[in-house]
Amino acid sequence: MPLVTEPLNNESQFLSRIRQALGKKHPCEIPPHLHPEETKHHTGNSMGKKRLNRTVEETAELIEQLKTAAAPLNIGVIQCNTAEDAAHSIANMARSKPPEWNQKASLVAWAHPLVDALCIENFLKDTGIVCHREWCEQESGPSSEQRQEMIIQASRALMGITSADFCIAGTATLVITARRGQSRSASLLPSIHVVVIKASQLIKDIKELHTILQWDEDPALRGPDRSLTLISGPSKTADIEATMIHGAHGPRELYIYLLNA
Amino acid sequence: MNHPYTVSLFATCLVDTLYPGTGHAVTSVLHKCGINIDCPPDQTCCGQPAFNAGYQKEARRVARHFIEVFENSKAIVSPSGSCVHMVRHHYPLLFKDEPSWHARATQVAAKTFEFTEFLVNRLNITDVGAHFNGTVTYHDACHMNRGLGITEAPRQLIQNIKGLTFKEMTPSDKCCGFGGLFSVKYPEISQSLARDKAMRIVETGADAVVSSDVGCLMNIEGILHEMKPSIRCLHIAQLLAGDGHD
Amino acid sequence: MTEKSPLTYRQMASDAINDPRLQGSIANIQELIGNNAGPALDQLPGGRNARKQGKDLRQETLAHLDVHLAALAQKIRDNGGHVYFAEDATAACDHCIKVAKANGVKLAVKGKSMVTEEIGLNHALENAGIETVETDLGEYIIQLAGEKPSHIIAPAIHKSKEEIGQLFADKLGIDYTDDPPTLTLAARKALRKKFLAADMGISSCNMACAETGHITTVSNEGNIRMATTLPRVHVAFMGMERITARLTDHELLLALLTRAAAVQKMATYMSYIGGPRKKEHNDGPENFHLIILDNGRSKILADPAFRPILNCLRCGACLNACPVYGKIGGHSYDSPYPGPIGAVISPLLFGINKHSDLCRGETLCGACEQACPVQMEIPRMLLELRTKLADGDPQWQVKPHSYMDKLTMVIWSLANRHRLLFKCLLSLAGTLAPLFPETRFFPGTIPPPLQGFRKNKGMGRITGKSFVTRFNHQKKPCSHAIQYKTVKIQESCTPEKKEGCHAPRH
Repeated sequence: MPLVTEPLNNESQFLSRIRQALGKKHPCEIPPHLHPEETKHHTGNSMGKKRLNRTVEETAELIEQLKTAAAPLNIGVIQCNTAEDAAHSIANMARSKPPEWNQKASLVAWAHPLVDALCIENFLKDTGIVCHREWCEQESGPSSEQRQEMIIQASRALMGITSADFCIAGTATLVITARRGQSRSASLLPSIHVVVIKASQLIKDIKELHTILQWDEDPALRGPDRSLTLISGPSKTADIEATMIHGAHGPRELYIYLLNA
Repeated sequence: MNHPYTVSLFATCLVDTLYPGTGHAVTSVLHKCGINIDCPPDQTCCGQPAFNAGYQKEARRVARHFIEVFENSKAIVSPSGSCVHMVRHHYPLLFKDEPSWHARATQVAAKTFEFTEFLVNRLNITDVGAHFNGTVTYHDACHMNRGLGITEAPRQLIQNIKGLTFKEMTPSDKCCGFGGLFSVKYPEISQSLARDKAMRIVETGADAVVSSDVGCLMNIEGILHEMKPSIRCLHIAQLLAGDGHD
Repeated sequence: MTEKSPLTYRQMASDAINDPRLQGSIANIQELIGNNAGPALDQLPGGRNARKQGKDLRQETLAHLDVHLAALAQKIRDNGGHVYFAEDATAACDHCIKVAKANGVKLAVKGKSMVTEEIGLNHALENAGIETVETDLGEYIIQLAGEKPSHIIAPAIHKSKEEIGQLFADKLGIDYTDDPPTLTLAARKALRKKFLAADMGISSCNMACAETGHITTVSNEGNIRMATTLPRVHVAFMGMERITARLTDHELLLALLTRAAAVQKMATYMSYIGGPRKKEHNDGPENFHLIILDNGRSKILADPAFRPILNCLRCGACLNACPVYGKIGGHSYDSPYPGPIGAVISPLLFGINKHSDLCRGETLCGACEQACPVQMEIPRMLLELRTKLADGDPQWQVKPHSYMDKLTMVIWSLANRHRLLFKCLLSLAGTLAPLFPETRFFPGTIPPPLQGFRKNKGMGRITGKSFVTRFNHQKKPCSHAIQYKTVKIQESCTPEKKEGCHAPRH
């Protein structure tokens, strides 16, 4: 792929114009109070531990918050004791909803432990509903043909099944990072987006999210890397005479399956 | 009932030239409250028309005149939230580069009060013993409301008038479209806003609309008269002076 | 650059005022969002103080804008993205076309973006032979109709569902319907094809973060996610001021933005994008370009009087509060930025003389400042702009707007410093006034606000006599005025009676 190189002198002129506007003579480093790594580190750690050590009551409180926030946003929250219960319910939904883009319903699903544990295929036997897994064996990632194929599968799918890194209870916001086997399009192109998470993934607010993203001990949770998306409901628009309609471009429906276990 | 005040009345140019009734009403209410009034004969305008149009030099000249006329007064009372806003908040800005004038402007600004603010917040008078048979609604003039933050004082005074029913219009704080020279330069926009305001007033079923700024009343009056001639436009001082019928 | 005559602005405003449907839809959005955004903002931790914090954060960030932009660019490049600093509209458009050509782009899909409206990107891309499709439903409608957006967050607010139905029947070949869900579905289908076929996605940037090196996009429809996920190339445009220093700054500013814009605690989709996809990712763009635009902003930054206008989050709250916008609609502003924010930023970006009507065409009622989530003093800045128009300003290349107005003001100022002259002019007006008894015979000669007291004999009229003079002659108010009495509302009153009441009897 040909690359466009950016002329750096352009940048230095640009930035020097800003410095002139600000009345600064020399470029300077970020002022320390705008970069408080030292002071925040400790808080970050304790906040990360707080999430892992939540009591049953605190978790129950977060679940209540999630339900309260989800209802007006048209997000279905379904609590399940086991992955099997969730799979059963998801399969029933797949059977009962009419496909939007294809004659026959199909599903796309992330490669993710919580999604894998559903074994959703077992519940779709004899229905003719296909479930496409998005895993790619090559370390170097899928070929462009494979990528194209995955996007087409997602765009025709009735349902996309994903998990999430976290769910912010107070605003019913799913936090999803792009990773290997975990396509962005699975939460975007299908008509229905189904998310499977554990209650332990609930966090309080965006502040807690940002603390985790910056300071969590687990580097895999840190970010935002290349792509992190916060989803707080099904796609919606009010552009025609302020009439609220769900399913403008993205999913028309959104369900959160909350596993107690 | 005697207050140790002699206040200077700044009538404002609109009251001076077009609405003498409001001026008389202000003086009668203040007299009733035991206030001595003088009305410096050299007074003219606060300078707001020029200031709002961007003509700061001209506004500054008129502001200097205002300061010279009023700086020896103990307190200055004016029946216009907009003019008080000008003196209190814009005079210090106008003279930010002239230290001696700035000091004089700040001094004058500190003792300039809007009429209802003066009664309620300085004198603690919320009932002037007025009567009015009928329903009244109140228009929050923009500079009075957002500029000076005065919304409660006039309402307290109105609600204590005997025989009066108070009814809020919704919203009461939307601009009537006057905006000084704006209404002259952009009459279509100004009049459409005044029409909206008049509709809100009519909706309340009030017999009179009251405000604390003659400019707003002037702008609303014409259209309101076309829409429903029986609704009177009154300055709050006229209501408090009991000369609402005329 | 031609001077726009006041008639044009006034004519457009009149057209809008006389369009009852437009009046209805603006009133609707002002009620739905305008009335509820303020209370939603006040619910934030800190209450009213949240806005002050937001303002302080923005000011603090702008004070070190050069450092933050350099940090952002460095981190995005480290992640394999490209950053281009564009001095003006032409440089930004040219660079985007260059990127498109280098990647063999034929079709571009766009998310809603004020900054690309500002630089005329669509036009430039179309001229370069690249089909460009707006994908926000409102913008799509406007693009199909060949019109311009009229509201920052509801671009098609001026279109009725019947008009949209007819438009879709003509352009998309569907059967006519005015049912909003059916129309939305038709757009969903048409645009889904475009998303899947596009080679390039273009987005704006609601705010970037220097500390982490990402841009944040906000939408409810999901179109921006589509445009930044499916095509091979993602080009993001940002006005240079739209950056925060720290990730934690996003918390407050995003909350202020979504609450002020749409009374939402959180927008449906918010994406933090820090570069192209990683090789092991299944999807996402393989090329990521960020174009950072100056286009006059550094000049605003340099002027302390106007720097705070760069605090703007582009939420549209001032539009939803402004009584003037509520009447004249977005198109009258003749700029990508309508409403109170547009009345300040359009003159600053595109010429103060050119947009003189925007500077002067407001009532200074202060509703915009009250609504603003970052406390921008829009009325103060409008006054500053008027000052430049009044006497000219070499720094901003402003010519005095009107010598006639200046002369009037000089005379006015003279009269207001000399009581005798003041009284003479008043007497003259009183003498002349009866010569113009019916204003309808003299359209335009008497300003409408003054027509009121002519038509209505109730309150005031030019008599040529001064209250102040009479007060000082009389020394005490007339006996009528101090007598409290029960008032009869319906009693009509004639001017003569009024005179009888108040005029001194010589």
